[in-house]
Amino acid sequence: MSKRIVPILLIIFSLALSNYAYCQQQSFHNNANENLRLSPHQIHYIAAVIVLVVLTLLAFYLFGVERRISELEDEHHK
Amino acid sequence: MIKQKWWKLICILLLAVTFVAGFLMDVPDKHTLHETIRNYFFHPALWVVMMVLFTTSVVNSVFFLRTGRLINDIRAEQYAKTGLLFGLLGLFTGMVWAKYTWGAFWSGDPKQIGTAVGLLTYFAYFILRAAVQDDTGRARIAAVYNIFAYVMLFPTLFIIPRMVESLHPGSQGNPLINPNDIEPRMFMLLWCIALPGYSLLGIWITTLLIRIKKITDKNIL
Repeated sequence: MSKRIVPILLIIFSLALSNYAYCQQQSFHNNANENLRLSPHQIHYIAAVIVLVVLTLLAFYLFGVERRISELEDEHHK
Repeated sequence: MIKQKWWKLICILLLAVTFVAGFLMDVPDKHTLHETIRNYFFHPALWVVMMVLFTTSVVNSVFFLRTGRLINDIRAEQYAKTGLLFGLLGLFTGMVWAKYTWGAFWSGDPKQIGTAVGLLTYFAYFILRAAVQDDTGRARIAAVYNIFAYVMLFPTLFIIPRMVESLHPGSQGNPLINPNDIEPRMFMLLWCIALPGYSLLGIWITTLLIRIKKITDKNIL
């Protein structure tokens, strides 16, 4: 069960990050957060890279789960 | 051995393009929306995929009621599970967006309340399943309830929020949903890249859940 929750957490994390990034830029536009050290575009670049890393991890995880399921299916068929 | 690997690789590619383009492409600077218009690439796609998954779930429930095959019940349950996950992610992305455009994560907007009711109806589906011990009886009751829960989505998500005053885009002339205010490439990114990508991810996760369930419940199939 704990392993099944991992992809869910990865998806939530990446979506939360994407939301955070564009909302940071929204704050910038509203002058609500003038103390941002990074420009909105820099935030977007960093967020895109992190989300891509998370997406890659998710892909590896799902492929790993699928390989394990295939092994179990083969054992059941024997 | 990984089955049909090609469409899973396409899924990853489509999602990668969605995230990169969603973050970095130029978007029109609309009044009050500004950069939050980028939510267009994430939030609506999750809702559409949720509906796709719930529809597949209810179709399997109908098949179960007609044929009595338990594999259809397993498929219905797992598609509903993944649909609920995408629904929660859609709600979550909407709440963060609302914080920066409406001023609060939860403002009691009819769209938010309707969403909460719709998703709670599906939570009840899983509670109902857990309450019945007999496999066939559980599958039959769950299939009937699944049809009810699916039908309930339409008034709670689509009809009632449009009948009352709402802050949500699409109501009161908010520009986000107006096709004239969205550039064609944004429209293309959502419908041709993001939606297929998220849909394939949902289907991929669900097929894995179904295969796990088939292994664990092999004695009843």
